[in-house]
Amino acid sequence: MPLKLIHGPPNSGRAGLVRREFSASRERDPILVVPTVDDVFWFERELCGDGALLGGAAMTFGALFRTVATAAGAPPGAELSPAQRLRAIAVAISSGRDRLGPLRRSAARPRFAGALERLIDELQAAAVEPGEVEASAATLEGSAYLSDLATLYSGYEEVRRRTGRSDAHGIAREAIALLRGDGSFWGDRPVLLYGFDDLTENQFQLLAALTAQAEVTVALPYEEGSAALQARGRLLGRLRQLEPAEEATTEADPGNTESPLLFHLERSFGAARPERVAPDAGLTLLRSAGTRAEAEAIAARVSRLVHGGADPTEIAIALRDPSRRGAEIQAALEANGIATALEAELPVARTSVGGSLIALLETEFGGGRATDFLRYLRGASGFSLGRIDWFERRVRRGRVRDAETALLLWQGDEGDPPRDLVRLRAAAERSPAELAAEVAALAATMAARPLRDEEDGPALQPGDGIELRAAAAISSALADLAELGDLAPRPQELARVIEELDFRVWSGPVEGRVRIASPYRLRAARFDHVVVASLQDGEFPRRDRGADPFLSEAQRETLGLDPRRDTEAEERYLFHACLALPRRSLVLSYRDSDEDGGATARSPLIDDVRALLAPAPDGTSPDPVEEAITVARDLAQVVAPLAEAPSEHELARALAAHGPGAGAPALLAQVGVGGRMEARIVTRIDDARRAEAASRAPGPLTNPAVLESLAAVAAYGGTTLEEFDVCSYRWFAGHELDPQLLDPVPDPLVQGGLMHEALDRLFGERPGGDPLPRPATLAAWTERGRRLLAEICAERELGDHPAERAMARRVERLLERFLAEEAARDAGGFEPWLLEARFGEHPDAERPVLDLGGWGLHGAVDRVDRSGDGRAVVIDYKLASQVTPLEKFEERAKLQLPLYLLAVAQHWGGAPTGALYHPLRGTSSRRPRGVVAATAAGELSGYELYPKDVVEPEALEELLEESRRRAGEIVARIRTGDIRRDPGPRQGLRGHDVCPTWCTFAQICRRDRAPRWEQEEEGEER
Amino acid sequence: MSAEQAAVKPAREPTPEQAAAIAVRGRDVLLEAGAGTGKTGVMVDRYCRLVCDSGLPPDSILAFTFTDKAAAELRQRIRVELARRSERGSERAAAALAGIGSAWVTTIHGFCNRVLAAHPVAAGVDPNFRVLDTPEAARAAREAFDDAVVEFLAGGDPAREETVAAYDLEGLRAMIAAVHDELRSRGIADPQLPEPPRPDPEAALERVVAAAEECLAELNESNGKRAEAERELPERALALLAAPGAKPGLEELLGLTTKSKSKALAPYREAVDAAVARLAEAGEGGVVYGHLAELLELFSARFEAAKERRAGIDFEDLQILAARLLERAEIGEHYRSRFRQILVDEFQDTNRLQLRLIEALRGPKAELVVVGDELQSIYGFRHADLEVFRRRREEIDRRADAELMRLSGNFRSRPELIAAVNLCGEALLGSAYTPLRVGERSLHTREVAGSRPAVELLLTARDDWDAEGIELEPAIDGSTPLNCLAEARFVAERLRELADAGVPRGEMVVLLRAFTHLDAYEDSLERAGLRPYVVGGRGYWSQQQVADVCALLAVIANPLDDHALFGALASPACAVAPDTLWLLRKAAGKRRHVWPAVEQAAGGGEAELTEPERLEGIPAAERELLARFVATVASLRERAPRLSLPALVEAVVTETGYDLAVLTRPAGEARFANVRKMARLAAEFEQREGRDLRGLLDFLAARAEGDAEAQAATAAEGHDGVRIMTVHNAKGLEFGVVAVPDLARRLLNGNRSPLLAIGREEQPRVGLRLVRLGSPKIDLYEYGALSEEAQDREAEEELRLFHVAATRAREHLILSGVINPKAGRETKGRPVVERLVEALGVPRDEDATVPVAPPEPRPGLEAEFEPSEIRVRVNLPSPERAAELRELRREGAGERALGEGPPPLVERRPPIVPSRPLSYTAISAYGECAYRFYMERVLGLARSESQPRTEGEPSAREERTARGAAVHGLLEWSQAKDWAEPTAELAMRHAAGAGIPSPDTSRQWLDVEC
Repeated sequence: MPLKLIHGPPNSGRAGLVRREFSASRERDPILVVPTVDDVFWFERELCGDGALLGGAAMTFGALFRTVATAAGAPPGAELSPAQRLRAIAVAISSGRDRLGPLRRSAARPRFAGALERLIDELQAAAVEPGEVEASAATLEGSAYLSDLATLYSGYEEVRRRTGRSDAHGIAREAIALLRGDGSFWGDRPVLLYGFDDLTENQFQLLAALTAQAEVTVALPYEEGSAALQARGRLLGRLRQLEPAEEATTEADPGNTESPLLFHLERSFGAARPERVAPDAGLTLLRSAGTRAEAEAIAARVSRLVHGGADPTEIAIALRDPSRRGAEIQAALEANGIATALEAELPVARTSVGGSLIALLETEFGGGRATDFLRYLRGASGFSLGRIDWFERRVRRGRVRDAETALLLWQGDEGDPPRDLVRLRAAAERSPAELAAEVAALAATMAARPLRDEEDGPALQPGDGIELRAAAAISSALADLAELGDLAPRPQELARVIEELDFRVWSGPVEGRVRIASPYRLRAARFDHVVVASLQDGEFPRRDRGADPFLSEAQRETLGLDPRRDTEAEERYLFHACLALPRRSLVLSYRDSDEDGGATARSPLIDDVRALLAPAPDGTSPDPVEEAITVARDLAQVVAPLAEAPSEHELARALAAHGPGAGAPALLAQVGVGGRMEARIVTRIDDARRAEAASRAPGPLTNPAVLESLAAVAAYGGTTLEEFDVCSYRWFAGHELDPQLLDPVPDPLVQGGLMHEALDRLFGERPGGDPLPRPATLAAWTERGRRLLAEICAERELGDHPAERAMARRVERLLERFLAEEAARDAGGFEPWLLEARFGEHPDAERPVLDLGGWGLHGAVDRVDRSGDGRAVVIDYKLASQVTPLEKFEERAKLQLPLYLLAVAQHWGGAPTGALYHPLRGTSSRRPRGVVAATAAGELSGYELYPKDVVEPEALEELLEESRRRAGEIVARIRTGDIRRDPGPRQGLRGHDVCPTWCTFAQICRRDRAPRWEQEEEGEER
Repeated sequence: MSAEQAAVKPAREPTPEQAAAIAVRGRDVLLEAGAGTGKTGVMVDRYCRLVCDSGLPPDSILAFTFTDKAAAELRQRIRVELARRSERGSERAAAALAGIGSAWVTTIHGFCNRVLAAHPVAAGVDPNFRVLDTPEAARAAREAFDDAVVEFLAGGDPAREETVAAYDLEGLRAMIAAVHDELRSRGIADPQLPEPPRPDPEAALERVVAAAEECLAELNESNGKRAEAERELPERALALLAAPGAKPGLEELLGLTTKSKSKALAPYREAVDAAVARLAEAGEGGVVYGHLAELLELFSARFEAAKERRAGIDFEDLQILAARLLERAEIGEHYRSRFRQILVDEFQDTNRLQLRLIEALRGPKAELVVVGDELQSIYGFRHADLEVFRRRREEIDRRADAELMRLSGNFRSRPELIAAVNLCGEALLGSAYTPLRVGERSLHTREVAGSRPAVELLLTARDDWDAEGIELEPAIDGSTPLNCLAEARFVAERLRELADAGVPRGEMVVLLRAFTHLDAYEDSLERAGLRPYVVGGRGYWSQQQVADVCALLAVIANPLDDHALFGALASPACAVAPDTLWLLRKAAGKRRHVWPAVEQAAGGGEAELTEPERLEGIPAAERELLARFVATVASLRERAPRLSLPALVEAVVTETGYDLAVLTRPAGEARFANVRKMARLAAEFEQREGRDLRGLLDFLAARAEGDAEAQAATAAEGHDGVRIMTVHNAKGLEFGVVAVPDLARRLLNGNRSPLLAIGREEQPRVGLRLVRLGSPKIDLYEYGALSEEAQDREAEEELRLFHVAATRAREHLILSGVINPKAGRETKGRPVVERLVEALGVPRDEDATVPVAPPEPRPGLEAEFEPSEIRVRVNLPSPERAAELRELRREGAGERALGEGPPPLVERRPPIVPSRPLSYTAISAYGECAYRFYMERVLGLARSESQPRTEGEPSAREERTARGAAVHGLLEWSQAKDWAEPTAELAMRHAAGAGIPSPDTSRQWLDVEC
């Protein structure tokens, strides 16, 4: 029977010819074979363009093989699904791994099975049997590899046989054999092929066998002399070996392309000496700064087209790698109200249901972390968010790292493990297959959980479709795996199986949607408007792809595998396919910089297009021809101009960007926006301005209820007053709002607390009877100190985590060192007198609130040493390496020590003599700083006082008085709610108006740290 | 500039030096190419001649560049040159041009990636491996270290806890990571600490005794109090150690150490210090070293596992694995036989591992041409090893079959600038400096008023900028010292003068060694109307918008985070008054979380509050704000898992109205750009780690700690503004006017000496600074020598950095620094400005000029040049001077354009189209359930089973489908056979093929259906 070949360049009417041939032979039930299932749908719609159709079918090669077998009376049996096949390969790998040589290490890698599956697929398609690979191993370089491969390949065949299923290649081979035998069963049913660039060996053999029985028509893209289509000549050559009865050539038809420029580009691309033509509106270069700007620029372009009446179905966006770049462009289009069909595959692991399921499996069957369990809970577990919030707090505060402990913690709270987990455990106990089935069911359950059921069924929200598709992909794959019975993955393998799964973001009708797809998927169709996006050097054209991870070119050739495609030629072919897509307009989009402003290289393919445009460049920069057809979106364009805003929300943003003083209604009127939309937008802008102004007003506090409470406070702590003095807003945020953390208290605070507590108890106990450690009693003090520290850690539930133990060890060492220094120090007759001396309203307070004239002071003094004649020195321990000297007291808002000295004098009757900060952490120097009256300096020489900290008694008195006065002013401000963002000391002192670097309340205080902007605003306010 | 455009530009004739470097064949070459000497042009020309004249296919030439950007530029220039040659009729050029896209012009990392991608299985990596970027690798390393420490401490060993406590967790993390990186940069796949030398404390103690005796002998000859005091320690030492069998403890020995710098005590001091070290090495120091070795191994293993979980490899893996591959016979041979020419640019910044890789690529017929300049070696901190270059140079110099060549003519800078750079170079680097020569007689025609002389030295006085009456209007962060601010203002003032004289702002650059005082320069240039644009930079995390969005995301993640909650409530996303925050806190109660109070104030929530009556004090309008906020947060929280992270960021700022509030502020778009950047960071995170909001927040917090993130850029390279960049970023670039300020920075400021040091030898020495809580640190093994060497290297590299910065200038060079009132001591860390001022004999407090001798022309250029000078200007504090410095020249914001046409608003009408033409079954399915029809046939969702099924059994639906398929198959067969009756066997086959599994079931089916 005759073979007919139709070849010609793109847009030369090949598809129309095939359709006509198909229709003409409808009585004989023709079969149209196309590359993908989507192509099947597309052709079905094309074929049904004139109404209902009876007779004939469109299908892929896979279906054709099955149809042939069925027609022969030998319907193929069950076939391995993709998931099952991958699993069979994984089983083959794990069972054969011990026998592997050089491949053993790589075979342990998670994605090895996928790569091997692709190789086996290729070998099978080329009809290469495991035995042939093994035989080649004896002769070829790198034979150990081939031997390993043969082991794995035959291992797969063995596993497949165990499943009792065939695979697509087995069915293909069977179908070919049936046709080669008595093929009369096929009758005269015509077969037509469209859209193929190349054929596998099995496909070619089937075709060859079919030509003996029926009419076969093959249409392929090829044109003599076309550089872009040169690579396709190989297929034509092979088909010619079948001695076609007829060969038809279609010619390029300018009538098929509305824009003469676009026709020219398609015809001339790749030509040796192309003619140049002047550009017209058919071609635009889109130059953007960064991927997001590019996505938005494309979306704006498409919005303008759709707004101008273009049918979204007639718009396509070609991306070399839609999985990588598609989502951002899709999001930009959808934000503009443009429906899209992103034809890309993404990992299910990146969805909520996928991630949640993997996390759950890791929790139970893998070496899960606490974060895995939380991730499951936060996903689609169905638990209330409030419960999870509190649980997360416990996990973080307890520094829980592993999932097992976290689960125990959860069970401690809730009594039972999550029901999803119970289901999985029960299934896992039955069998791996049961577990896979249960996971399949659970995926569907999890995906459905968040859907609100409404009267007409659950209404899908943005993102739900993705989740459902991902869940469906998981369910389907896991259900397939469950059918494998004892070959189903083990529980600990399931998370990895799901991680490796991809799902199609969109697989459905594309009418009314802008397609975002690779050139491979688009090349069979045509559109009015096409955007070729992300034209970057290295992205399109791609580089370094197409290598075989297993076999060298020589090995491939010996095994009869096709050589890998020439990347460069393939990329140019694909770009040429893109040039052939549009009828009316083409946009070539690239990025000249990344989001950080760094220059990026555009695709040289754009230069190739420029080489087709007239006039030729004359060396001036920028090129006037390019500039004339370029639309740029630079980094500064964060928001669209008002007249180009593609959605109501973007309109509001554009309006807001006109600044605080812009007249919203007038501006909207200028771009023709009025009515309800105007009202809505103006309201939103007003709200935003109000919120913005309110958020920048840090005080004063004015609410009577608040002021009344503040005024009623009778006593204040020294630290409180210092905090206020450092920055009144910081005091408000830290002291008054007192934000509670999700995380454990920071280590330095814990260490400080441990040290204070230990010293308080230790000096209270006085081991050995001495008020101070002495050389003779040091050992007793040290030993007791260690024990006390251990007790305190136990009381505070510290020590479960290794980091906590190390922290405790650190404090222990610092304590030991301090005690040793105390023992060695000559205290000059001063001895510890008061320890943790409390005064105020605290139940443990020894003395009442200290009245300082209209306001009171409360507090707890770490330690007071007293001389025999009643002179008192206040000591404050600081777990720091540096402490504040006297000269910096005002600058650093130090009030507590002087005020405590006052308290000691008034409440306990000690004569104020000194107040010292004692650093406990310094490595080279731990000399105390503070203030000491000169009269006692000699006695306290054991402290190695700094001369600058030693003052005359009168100066000490003045300091006390000044501190009392400053504290009084602060109290007055607190009582009137006078809080401001006023960091640092008074003007003239270092640090004035500068936020301390250690302040952690910036998030609440909201003081702008951007110098340029702040000054601009201040200028405006003035 | 496009390739086409560039092609029309005529190529310059090479100089004799360049021509020789282009033409040399048949031998290895090391080409020393100083700054601006046209080495890229030589590489391009050499490449093209190899292709066009020698007929080498591009596939056989491998060219390594240092950065991707340089590779892209080299490829582009080769493309241009080939296009030019092709236009002139070269067929080889035309043929090469078609395939130039896949030419081997790449970085070493890029090459390794390509090799591994081609042979992942042979390399033992995941066939679909990906290269982890720096943040992800850092995250993996962080996790790995945390796990390693937990394991290290798991046994509760007090000694181990002591080690961790002493070095601190973060200190240990940094130490182990640094050593790990260092060892891996040498090609060690599984890093381990070298075995330390075995200590001999007894011998060390004997030396102390000997040294003490020696010192005493000398001191005994002197009288006086000092000698008497100095005798004390040696005497004590002898008393303690001279007794037979004396075995002092470490603390006792420490008591014998001295910090005295007395010459007489020197032998004793050194001997005691050494003895302390040896004793510590034999005891606790050795134990700690063992701990660190163990921790390194644990970390290494965990890090490998973490990478494997991600199916990723890091940048160092790329090189190590590729080197291993290439060293294997069959794969290495494949590449060795391919490459006939290997060109390596920036060879001075390679390391031993990279050299190993290059050597592995060399076949017997390959020529290796390396290009480099010792004076431009500035990547020591990234493990570049200048010794590799030096050794190679020596080797090439020795070999008769190799050629050491040089490019000395600088084509970048004007002659007087070259002369001044040479003067400074010789002053700073001495004999290590090779002077540049002038490449061309008259390079530059632009003559700008005030731009002569070509080089200026601006000196700002160190003191008194805080004196009465002096106001510089510091930037708000205020962390920059006033003298640095005065310097920044001075530099900006000078650049402004040049701009006023006609120098385009885009041609000026400020090159900083580090961004420590970036704010001051950005602020000063902004004030001067110079539109600064920071390349790289930092400051992102301290932006209010960034803090706000982080707070909002944290509230979505968990509203019990009070910090975030208060931040969000105070932000424009809610904007309640501080009074309301206060009342919420009081209502919630002390040490309790606030969210329950917020919920109740908004009219919901049931949790018990400490003082619920406080909520009554919140005004109604504020309650309304809270209600709206709570509702928005609740909605976002409910949807958050199903939104991608960037979509969540977008939704958060949109639905709370935060975006509009930010945009209404001055410079709103720049602020909003920071919000958009957050969405980008979220997208990048999701791409790597999946959709994990908590993970993102932790990741952002870790990134914020580093403060290495620049604010969102609103201008790209090449815009009309003065660029600010680091010297490292400027490598390979050139500018009209270059300012190099902050030269008062000490040379050793870069990094503190690491506590664990490893020598660069094949059998490396080790050094450890033993940290002992509560006791002095002790330097063990070779720590002192290694630290010293590292400091030497660092200081040398800092001086070379200055050279690199200065040689970026074409027309004008401004050097600037804060100067001490008096010359200080000569130390290793002495700043560049102090060295220059001393060497050039410049006064410190008045303007001056420094005469500069004329430069030499390059070989082959017959020309003579005039002497020139360096102008020195001083910046002294006074109220008047401060007034000049703070003068504002800020540009006003331009009017915002409205754009053209009506807004292209599109009303979304989701299309409802079935996926295939309607069949009878489809219509029937619609009749059964329209919703199901929509889900399955419009949205294309797969069916899911609602009923559980028995293992191995098909579901009811599957069974129905299978039966239908089998009947259809039989009928089709029958039709084709003229309605022949199928046999039972055929029917059984159809049944089995359709998925009706067991023979029994099939037979049952057969009975019923047939």
